[in-house]
Amino acid sequence: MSSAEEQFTAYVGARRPALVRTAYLLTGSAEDAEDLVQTALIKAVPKWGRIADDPEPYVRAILARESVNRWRRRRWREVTSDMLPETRTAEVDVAGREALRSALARLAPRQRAVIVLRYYEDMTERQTAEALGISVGTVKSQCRDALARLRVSELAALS
Amino acid sequence: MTEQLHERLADLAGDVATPAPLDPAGLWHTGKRRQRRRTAAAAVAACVVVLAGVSGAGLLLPSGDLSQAPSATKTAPALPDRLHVPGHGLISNEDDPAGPFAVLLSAGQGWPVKTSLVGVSATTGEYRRVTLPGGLPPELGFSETAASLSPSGRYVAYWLQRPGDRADDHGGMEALSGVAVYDTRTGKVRRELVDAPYGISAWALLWVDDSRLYFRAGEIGGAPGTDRASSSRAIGRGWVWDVDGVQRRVPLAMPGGEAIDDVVASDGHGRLLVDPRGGSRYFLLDPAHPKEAQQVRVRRSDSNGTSSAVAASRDGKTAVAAGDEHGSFLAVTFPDGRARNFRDLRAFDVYGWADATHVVVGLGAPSEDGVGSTRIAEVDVTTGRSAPFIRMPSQQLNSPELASDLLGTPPVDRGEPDWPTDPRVFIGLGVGALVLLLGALGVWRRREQR
Repeated sequence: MSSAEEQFTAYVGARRPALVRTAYLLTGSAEDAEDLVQTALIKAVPKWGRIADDPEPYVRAILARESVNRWRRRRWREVTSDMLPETRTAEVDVAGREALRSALARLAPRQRAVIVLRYYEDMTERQTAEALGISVGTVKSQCRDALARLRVSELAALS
Repeated sequence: MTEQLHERLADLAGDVATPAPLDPAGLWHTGKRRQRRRTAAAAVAACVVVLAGVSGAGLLLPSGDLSQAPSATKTAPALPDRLHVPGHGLISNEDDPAGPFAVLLSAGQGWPVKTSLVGVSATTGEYRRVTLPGGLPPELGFSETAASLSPSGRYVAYWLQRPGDRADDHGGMEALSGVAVYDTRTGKVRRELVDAPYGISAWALLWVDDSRLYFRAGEIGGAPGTDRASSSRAIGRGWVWDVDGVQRRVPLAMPGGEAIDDVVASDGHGRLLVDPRGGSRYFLLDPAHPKEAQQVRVRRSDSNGTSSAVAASRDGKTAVAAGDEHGSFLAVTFPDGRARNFRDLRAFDVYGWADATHVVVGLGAPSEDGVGSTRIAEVDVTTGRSAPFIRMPSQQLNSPELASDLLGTPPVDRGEPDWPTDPRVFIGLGVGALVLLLGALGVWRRREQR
């Protein structure tokens, strides 16, 4: 086994669960999330020689872009649940998670990716823009629009 | 909101179960295979782009320019000992002049067949496509008047089509505006226009020598009561035009101004065989010195009275493709009045005299398939023996025009011309390869997506 392959193996072992979680937010499906992560890792292999020192930004960028592109290619649209939580509490409960998942699912794939990268991965606007291959201005506008949609969904959930 | 959102997103992300164990080595090797496939696909795509580029270049280039062969080594001017059916995509003589020409052909090329004029270089044997600016369509062939190669092969004389006229407007006759000479060494053209309200019709076009052109044209008349041309044409008159000089054409006439009814042939060296009064007496006449006209005897017409191919020698001999009940044969008249018929030599064309005793003729010969073939042979008029002069391809070619100055030089072996590759071959191959590669890419992508 080459040292590059060893590094790759170590990285997959350490970071795959976290990548799957991000992918889950991007896709809304555990199965698709695992598939997305595998695809991203496979795509990272040819570049591994150059990214081995810090593969995370590159892999996350592939993850985010691939989630958008998959939607474009396959027109994946998750079936969203119409179930809404009965009440909104400070503590996150099952219904709250379901409402958030449903609200995320209603977002356009790029908006969803922006929200996940900005508010789950805590990336800056510039990092998000670089990861998705879009401008900072687009990140701002997509983020603004996505948050507004989430709020509407929240209100709908409350009502 | 944003802090809450982060927490809620993290909570939602925590919903996903711990992923099943995965073999990272498998991912690594899959990634490597993908890398190799992408490299191969990139190479294929590059090939496709190159092929598409080549095909595009083939489409954009004029035919024949894609694979221009290097110019052959020049030698002393001579006829080729063999003619070939011209290949596709010939280089244009305007792009790479190869004059003087030893031979001028009209040959069908391509599919659908398009007739082209083709010149064969006297010094290299190269074949060139010739376009005569303003000339009649090559489909009309040489007939008896359409185009004529000068004795040295430097010029091609031809009739100028009257712009905007159609043959149908003139009872099927092509309306012409004058004559022109095309310089095979430079591609340049000199024109001599004849003023006529409805244009002129062609009667005769032949070279007196290498710089003087005889042409005879009849004026097309107007239809009574209309402003349209009639189907009648005047017999017209003949002129001699010095194509290298600055003067315009001068009328051709016998000493004393006697009109000339017909010009039968040229010896190619400055004298015309003329028939001033229509079949009674023949003279060899230098247009510049009409008083020195020499009377000669000619057996010109066949048994049906139709005119035949004639060639005059410098010393007054004439060779005629005369006719009998079996077709045409070679008949020679000597200056002293003696005549000799070679009825076993079925000559349908007379190209000229190689020397005082040898004449070059086109012979017809029956072939095994019954179609018949043609050959160009040299005939010794003292013995009647014929010898092959220029071998013709098994595939029929139209009768060529030969540079008569070169008939006295033994034809040389120029070898098989290096035909340029037809650009359409590149286009076809390129498109074919493109389709195949795109198909292969499509199949590969489908397999990858499964």
